[in-house]
Amino acid sequence: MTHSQIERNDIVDWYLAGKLQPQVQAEFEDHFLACPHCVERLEQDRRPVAAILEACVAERYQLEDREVWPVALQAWSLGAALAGVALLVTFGLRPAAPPRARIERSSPDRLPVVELAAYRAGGGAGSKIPVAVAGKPFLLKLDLRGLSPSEIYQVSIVTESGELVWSGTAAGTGGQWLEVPVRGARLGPGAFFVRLAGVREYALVVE
Amino acid sequence: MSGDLENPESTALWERVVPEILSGGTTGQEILYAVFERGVRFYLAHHMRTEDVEDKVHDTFLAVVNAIRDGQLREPGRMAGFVRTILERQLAGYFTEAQRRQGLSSEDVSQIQPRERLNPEQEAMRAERRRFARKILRGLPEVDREILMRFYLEGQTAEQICFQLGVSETQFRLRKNRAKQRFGELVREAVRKKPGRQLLLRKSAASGH
Repeated sequence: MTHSQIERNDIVDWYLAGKLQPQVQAEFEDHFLACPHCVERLEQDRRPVAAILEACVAERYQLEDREVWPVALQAWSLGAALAGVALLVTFGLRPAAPPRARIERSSPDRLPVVELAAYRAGGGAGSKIPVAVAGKPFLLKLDLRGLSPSEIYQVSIVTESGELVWSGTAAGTGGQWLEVPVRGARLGPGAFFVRLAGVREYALVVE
Repeated sequence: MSGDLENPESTALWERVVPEILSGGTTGQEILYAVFERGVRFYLAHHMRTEDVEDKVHDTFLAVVNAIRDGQLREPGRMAGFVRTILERQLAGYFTEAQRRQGLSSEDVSQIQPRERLNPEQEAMRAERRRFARKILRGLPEVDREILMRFYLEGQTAEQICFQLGVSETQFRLRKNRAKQRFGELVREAVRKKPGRQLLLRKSAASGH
C-alpha cells in the first residue's frame, strides 16, 4: 500500500470510521505499524473523526432530541403542558413518533425479533429505524437479498464510531433472512451498526 | 516510502536485525522497538478504546521477540505483518479475558469488547457530548454537512458523493478536509472555553465516541 493509494482512497478516514473492508484494513495496518507519517495522521484525525461520527449519528437518528425531551418538558410552564395534553385528548391527536421497525414477539426461541434491511440500500432520512431493547437479548433477522449465499456468516455489532461491541457467527440456510441470536451483547441505549462479514451494514437503535 | 517494509531496503534491514534478535543481543530489539513502537501503541489504543496501553505495548514486544526466537518469522521482509499477527493474538487474549470477567458464554459470543454498561453519570456525559457534537455539525455549511454525513456515516465513496452532489473530486476533498479541520477547531475551542470538556473528549477519544 502506497501513500498515494492511501490518499486517493481516503484510507485514513475510513479506517478511523471503521468502514474498511477486512483485507484493506489488514494491508493498511501492515503499512502504518512502521510508518510514522501515517501514525501521525491517524493520531491527529482520531478525535475529529470520532466527534464527526458522533454528530452525524445524532443528527441522523435525532438522538439528542430524545435525550433532551425531559429537560425541554421541564422548561415549559405547567399550564401550557396541561393545555397541550387537553388538546391532544380532546382532538385525539398524537405527537408524531419516529417510524420504527416492528418487533415481533413470537420467534421460535422466544427472543424478540428485530428485522434489519440493508442500510446502504434504504437508509435515507425518514426510513424506519429498527429498535432493540437495551440490556435484553434479541434475534436479529438480517436481509440477505443480493448477497452470494454462504454457509457461515460473520456478524458484528459496532457503535456509531466503529467500536466493536459484539460479534458472532451464524449458519446460512439459503433463505432471504439470516437469523442471529444476540444474547450476550448487553447493548446500552444508542445507535449501532450491524456488519455482515464486511459486505453489508445495517442500522440499529437500542433504547 | 517511509516505513514501507515491502521495499528491498526494509527487507535488508530486517534480514540484519532478525539474526541480532536470534543471537540474544539487544541492538536488534532496540531497532524493532524504534520502528514499531508508535504504530503498535496507536493500534492497541484504537482497538482497545483506551489510552492505557503501556502494559500491552510491553507485552507485545516481548511476544514478538519470543516468537522470532521460536523461529515463527519465516520471511524477515514481512515483519510488519508478523507484528500485526502478534497484535491480533494479544487483542484476542484481551477480549477473551474481558468476556470471562463479564461471565459471558462462548456459545453466545465469539468476541466482545470490554465495554461496561454506562452508569447514569456517564450516560449524562455522553448525552452532553452528543449534543455538543451535533451543535458543531449544524454550524457547518449545508454542503459540508452533507459531505460529512454521506462520507462518514453512510460510507459513500468520493465518486458517489461527487456525482450526487455535483461537485468535483478536488472540491470534495477540499470541503471534506476543511469541514474536518473546522470540526477539530471547534472541538478545541470548546475545550478552551469549558475545561471540563477536556475529560469528555479524552473519554471520547478513548472510547471512540
